[in-house]
Amino acid sequence: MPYKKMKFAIWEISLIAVTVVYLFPFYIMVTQALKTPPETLKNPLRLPATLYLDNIKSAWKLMNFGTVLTNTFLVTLVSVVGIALISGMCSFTLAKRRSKMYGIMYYVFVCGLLIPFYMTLSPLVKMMKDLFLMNSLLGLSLAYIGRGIPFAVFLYVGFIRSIPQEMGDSALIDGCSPGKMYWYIYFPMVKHITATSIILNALWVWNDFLFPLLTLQDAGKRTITLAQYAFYGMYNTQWNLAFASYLLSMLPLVAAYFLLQRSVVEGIAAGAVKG
Amino acid sequence: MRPGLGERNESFQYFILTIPAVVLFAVFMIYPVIGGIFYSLTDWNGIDMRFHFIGLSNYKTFFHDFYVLIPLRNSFVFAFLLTICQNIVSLLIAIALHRRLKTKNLLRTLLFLPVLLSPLMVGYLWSYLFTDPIAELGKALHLQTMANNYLGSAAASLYAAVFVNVWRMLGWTMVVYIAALQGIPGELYEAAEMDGAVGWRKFIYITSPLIIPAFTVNLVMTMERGFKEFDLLFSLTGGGPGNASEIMSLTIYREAFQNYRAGYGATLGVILFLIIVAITLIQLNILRRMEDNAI
Repeated sequence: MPYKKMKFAIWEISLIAVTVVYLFPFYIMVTQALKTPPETLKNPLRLPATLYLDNIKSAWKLMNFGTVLTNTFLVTLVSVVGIALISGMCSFTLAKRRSKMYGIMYYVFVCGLLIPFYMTLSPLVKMMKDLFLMNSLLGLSLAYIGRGIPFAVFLYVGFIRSIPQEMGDSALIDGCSPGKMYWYIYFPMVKHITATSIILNALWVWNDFLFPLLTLQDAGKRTITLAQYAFYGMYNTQWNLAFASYLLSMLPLVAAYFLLQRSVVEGIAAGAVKG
Repeated sequence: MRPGLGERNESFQYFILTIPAVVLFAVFMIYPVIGGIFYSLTDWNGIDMRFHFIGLSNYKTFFHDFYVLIPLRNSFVFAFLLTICQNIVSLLIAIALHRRLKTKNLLRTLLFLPVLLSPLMVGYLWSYLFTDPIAELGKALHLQTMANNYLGSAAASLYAAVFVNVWRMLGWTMVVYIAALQGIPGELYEAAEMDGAVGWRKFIYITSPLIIPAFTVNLVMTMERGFKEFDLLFSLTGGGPGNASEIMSLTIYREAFQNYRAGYGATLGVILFLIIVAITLIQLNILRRMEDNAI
């Protein structure tokens, strides 16, 4: 059917055109980052005359990118692993035990989903000071864990409830403690919820800005977003450097995305079905 | 061992599993929420240890505060417009991509890319794009409308922010719609085609009732994120020009950390919370009813 084939081709070409227009900001970002300073100020649409890598080198140095990347990576790792482990264990009890207390506990957790961060802002910052968690990457991670629990509990409880009871009961006869039962029987079964939770929280923690801004003051403890903020304040007229810094800070997540593409897309879709 | 002891022991072991979550949630969520409600009744400046309990005065101030009126209106405009635009555009793209195209997966991957960027960076990126490259592009294409810097115009900056946020989050809602579309069995369409259904009729009578759960998720999520957005507007317009694109979250930040009125900031936070709860409940109510009717 040539008519149908042509229709498909037209669809395809127009979608490709839409995508090209959509990615225009990336084109500007990459080309500007690779241009010499005088070139950046000329026509921004043109391709760079030569590949000029000095911007990236100086942006790396000026941002202290090695440290910044390590900080962000550590905070994200501790937070997402913490959220998945702690919420998973708790959800196991909430889903398995049918007492009033756990029912109320579940509702309190889920209510946490609606709380806007701004409502808790000043008391949270004051409390971080009182607990000596200011300016500490671990303190920041702990707070992310606390704030990330509601969504993870929501995902885990929904899924664990759908697993037939008999699964765990047979283990119980063998004299397995609840903790072991979770680790050996349920944890492997909820693997894809763990993946979803890790992906969604990694996107959130890695890119979060306001909370680190209010709690981290040392330049040596900056995360990527804080470095972007500080960098913008100092070099916002030197576009070649600014774009080199954007490119640098974008690369780790984009690389991770291309490696884990399927799980990321499926994770978001799965999180949405449950959410 | 006495028979009763085993059961109690087991309950206790179950209880222990919840402790880490309960402790961290209590410290980093419940305590600050109660603190927020408490400080909203005080004149605390956010730094000193001392403050006075002033009852509901902050709430009364809110209703007479002409300065807050614009951010409040902006929050509503931003969240509603964002929800509508983002969902329409991403649904259209999801439907278009749902066909058996060769480049389908590649295009989906590329359209998802902006989701990975931090909203802060997206704001900086677009604040540059609006100043220079878009104007240049307008000149090159002979389009006069593209030659203006919309971020500098009080009438347009909020809409420009909606546009940028749609650009950033489009991939997210698109992925959810695509997943929902993939869940529809192909036989349904074949049966409908036998009955003579075409194009938009197929969409209205088959597709849309079956993807209502995806609508629920996307509409609720986009709306909530719209009301909670901060980073993007902070870096894109800073609320400007003047306060033309200032939304509630920026006002709360400004009151609490720049004007040292943490008590009043907390009041605005509580009000924002109430708005989000009310709108979410209304949305869920309507959408759940539609889901029930569809079945």
